[in-house]
Amino acid sequence: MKHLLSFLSAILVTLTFASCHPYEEWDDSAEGNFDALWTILDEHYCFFDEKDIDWNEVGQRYRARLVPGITQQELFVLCAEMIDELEDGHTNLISPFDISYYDQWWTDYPQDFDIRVLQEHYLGFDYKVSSGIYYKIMPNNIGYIYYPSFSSTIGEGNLDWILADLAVCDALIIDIRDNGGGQLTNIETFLRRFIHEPTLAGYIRHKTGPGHDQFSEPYPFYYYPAEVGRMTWHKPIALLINRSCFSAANNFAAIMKSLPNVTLIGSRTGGGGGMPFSAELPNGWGIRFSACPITDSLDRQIETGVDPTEGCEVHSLPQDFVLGIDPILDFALSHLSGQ
Amino acid sequence: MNRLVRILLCLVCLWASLSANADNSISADSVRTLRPVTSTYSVEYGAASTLDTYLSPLRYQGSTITLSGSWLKAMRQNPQRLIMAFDASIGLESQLSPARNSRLYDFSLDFSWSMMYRWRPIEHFQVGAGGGAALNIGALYLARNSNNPVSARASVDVTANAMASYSLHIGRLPVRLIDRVSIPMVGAFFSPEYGETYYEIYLGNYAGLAHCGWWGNHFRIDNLLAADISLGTVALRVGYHLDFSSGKVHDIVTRHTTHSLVIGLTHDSLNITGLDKSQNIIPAIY
Repeated sequence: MKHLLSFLSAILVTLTFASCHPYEEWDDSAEGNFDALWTILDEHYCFFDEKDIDWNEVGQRYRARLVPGITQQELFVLCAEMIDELEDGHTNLISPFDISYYDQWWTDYPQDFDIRVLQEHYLGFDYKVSSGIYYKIMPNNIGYIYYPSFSSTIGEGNLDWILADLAVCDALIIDIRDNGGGQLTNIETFLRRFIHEPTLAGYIRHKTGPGHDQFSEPYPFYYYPAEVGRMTWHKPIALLINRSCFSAANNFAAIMKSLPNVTLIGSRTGGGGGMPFSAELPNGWGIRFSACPITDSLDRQIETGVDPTEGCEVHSLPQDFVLGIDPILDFALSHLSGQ
Repeated sequence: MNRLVRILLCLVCLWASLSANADNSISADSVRTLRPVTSTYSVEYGAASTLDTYLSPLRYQGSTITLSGSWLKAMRQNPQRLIMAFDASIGLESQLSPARNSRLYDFSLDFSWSMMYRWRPIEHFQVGAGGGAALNIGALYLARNSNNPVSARASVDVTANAMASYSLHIGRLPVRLIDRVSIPMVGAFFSPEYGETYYEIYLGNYAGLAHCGWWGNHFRIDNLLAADISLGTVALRVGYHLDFSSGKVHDIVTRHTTHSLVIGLTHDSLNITGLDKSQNIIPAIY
């Protein structure tokens, strides 16, 4: 009986220790929420090394500004300023009264796009719309597609209709200016219509632990051509980009740039090469941050944007839009007509 | 010399015991042995809490509801000693964050089969111990998250199982107290890496998703304590169910606890006609 009790005690102790997988907890105070935010980013954010950010120093500097009696609004501003140090458009702090947003990736640059000018002076308010895509045949028999957001899910049937309508054209303009991103699965659906063989789209990696340098090996991922019977396009393409192309639109630009029949025209994209993850603080605020870097087909970082094709960087001046001129679109029409 | 005599006596006793068992088997074969299935169908409702650091560093709390079925039967090979059990359940949980502004849903399916060797140390009291296999699949869904809204769960385990039952009367009412415990010992389970998106898995990167499970990284204990109150041909089951699990792999910590009130019906069923006295009925629980 004594041995049995010893055996059972040993099992109980083993079970107790085995079941204790500790995890970090923070209280719902200004300090607790600040520490939770700092730690979540410290352990999960993926671009500390690329951006040469000393996160410990940043944390100490902002923690020194935590004062007793700090209000929720003041704490929000403090935390928002801290995460702005990451200079990352994918990083947001979300509270019931505000959402922080680092916007200098586009506000410090010319917009190079005016939707009204496009619709009025180039499309004549006469265009078709399908699956969130505007399309029309422009002068000189050039097809035009405007895809304003990759959040709009594209149907395969819709793409068939669009590309069938434009099939008679000699070249195609795909305009993704001001496209702030969306779902990566949408860019795959769209892009499969423009490739005729398996295409290396890029590399993806993820964090394997809380250390700043703990990353998986880059995993190459491929896109495959659309199924036989689907409408596809293999003639010249001009892809119009501007600084407000971000996240999935940035990925799309990077992949399109690797295709031989595609010319990128406009200005450098806004970047956003890290897939964002979400977490939350004890007070209920949400935090979104870049977690998984995606690189281009040569495994180059695209976090800070994708450049237009050499010799095809084009900007607009404020007076251009007043005069109803879109220099980037004009350049593309001229470039494709010349081909 | 005394020692040698003792060992010989033990061997003689063992031989006698085995012979007796063999005789019992022969005698049992001479009559038809019937093995009723003890079936239990229950609804479980209670409190749940969940931590999954892949989704959130915060522990969510809420409620759980589970529909479960349990089938126990004495085994053909040695019905006096061996019993087997099959358990299945489907559960749904809804939980809130500490700030109560975010909701987490947990869906799970559990299946397990076990075989136990049983003893009756005293009359009306039965204990059993053995092992089995368990399959658990499920998913956590946290709508507020962007590219990490789901944490899928899948595990296959070899389990250690134990049970005890005691039959008594409260007044003239027959009551059976029962306790069943299951603990996974080793197995395999699924987990993405620390910061891996399911999109990357969708793209085809399956490396590092399957893990060998043991107590150190994948611990779970499932305990049911119930009273079956006889109502004639069926019994009303009232009980308490604890399900606790804790895991850590790739620096992702998970912890899940439910405390549930169990209400169910249990009965013994035989798939025969023409029962007579020459038949020997051996239930799964005495």
